Amino acid sequence: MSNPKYEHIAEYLSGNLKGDELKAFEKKLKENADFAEEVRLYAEIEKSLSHRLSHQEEENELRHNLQRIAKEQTSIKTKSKVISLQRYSKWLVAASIALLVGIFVVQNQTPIYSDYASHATMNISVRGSSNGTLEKVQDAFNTKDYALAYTHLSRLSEYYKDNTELQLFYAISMIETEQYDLAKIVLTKIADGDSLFKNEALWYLGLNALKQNDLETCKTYLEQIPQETEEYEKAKSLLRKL
Amino acid sequence: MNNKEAHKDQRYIEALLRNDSKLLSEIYQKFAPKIRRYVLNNSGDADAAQDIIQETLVTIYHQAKEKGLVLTAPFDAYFFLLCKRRWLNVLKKRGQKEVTKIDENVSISDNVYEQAAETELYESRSVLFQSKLAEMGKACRELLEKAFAIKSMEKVAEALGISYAYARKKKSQCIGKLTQMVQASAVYQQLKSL
Repeated sequence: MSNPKYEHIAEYLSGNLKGDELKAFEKKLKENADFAEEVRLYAEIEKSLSHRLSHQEEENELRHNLQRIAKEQTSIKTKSKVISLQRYSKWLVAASIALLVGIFVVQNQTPIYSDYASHATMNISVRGSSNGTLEKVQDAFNTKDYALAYTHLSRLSEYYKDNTELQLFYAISMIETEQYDLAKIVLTKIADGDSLFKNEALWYLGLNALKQNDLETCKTYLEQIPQETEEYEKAKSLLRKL
Repeated sequence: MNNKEAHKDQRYIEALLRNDSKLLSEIYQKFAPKIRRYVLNNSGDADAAQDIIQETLVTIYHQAKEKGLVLTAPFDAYFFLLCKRRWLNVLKKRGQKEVTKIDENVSISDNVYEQAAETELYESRSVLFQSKLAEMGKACRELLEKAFAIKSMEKVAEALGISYAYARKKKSQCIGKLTQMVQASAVYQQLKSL
């Protein structure tokens, strides 16, 4: 079964063919076009498959990110359509509650962080990722084990420094573990960029201040959130109480 | 190919390589709506459009990573042409007639066609290689999958419980076999005559 032809090709391509054997091989390459084509194809196949199989994880991460971006953009589109209705119904609900409850409860109610700390569910695990760290992060985050989520994220964040969504979750786990200054640095970076998470970052900068009872700073962040964004309504209702 | 001057849109190619969310969002914002319209106008739905966009971007990523793709045409026209032709292929496979209701006629230069054709050829070839690998006998397939993913033949030999020398010899024979299978396939003959 042994066919030394392919062993020779492999040796030649890896630069291990020497002396007379190399000379004979090169001569054959020059004189025999079919052989030359076979060697070229052998090399192409090896390179192509080795590229594919060693970049599977990277490909999965890219796919995941693309899916997320696509989903986000369709949700932005549909949201802007229903927002006027939603706002209207919210006002109705708010108005009727105000009527029922009357004025006497409204005073003396300083908002607290925990009333607003309902975080989005983290859903960014990567299909087929080998080490599973992202899954661990996600499990920890979604079960509110923010300290563990933070530990994992601190290891991953350098690698994912362009992944704004992940950075945002990183910042949230910092707020939850009372690392306010760190959270502020990460969030400010997101808020200063123009990713889709810009406004969410402003919202969390506000919450970061709120959790430290710094109501004035909280206000200044919330006031920067533009209208017609998902965070605007939340911000408005919190601002009213501040 | 690498000595050509890159178009300023090369940054989108680099965004794919870096998985840069910000620039990738820009791609979706700027270029996806036109593709979505095209697919929707030609018997497709939003999900189909999304698939087309994603598969095209993944292909470009691979070509860039493996072959150092240098974009010399505007990304907009190149990307749209690729997505459009990919969708037409889907329709063809479904046996549907190619009825293009709307063809957004941006003026497409030869350069764009060339670049798109290069990407398509790249994809066809890698898909062919992968499908032939999948057709191989279990022994070769497992050895090659390990060898390509792990790279170090020492580790491959260890994982398979064979000697290093034998693993290397087997690897070259299996790639040789694969090369023959590719050469014998009708698809390869077609691609060669392109």
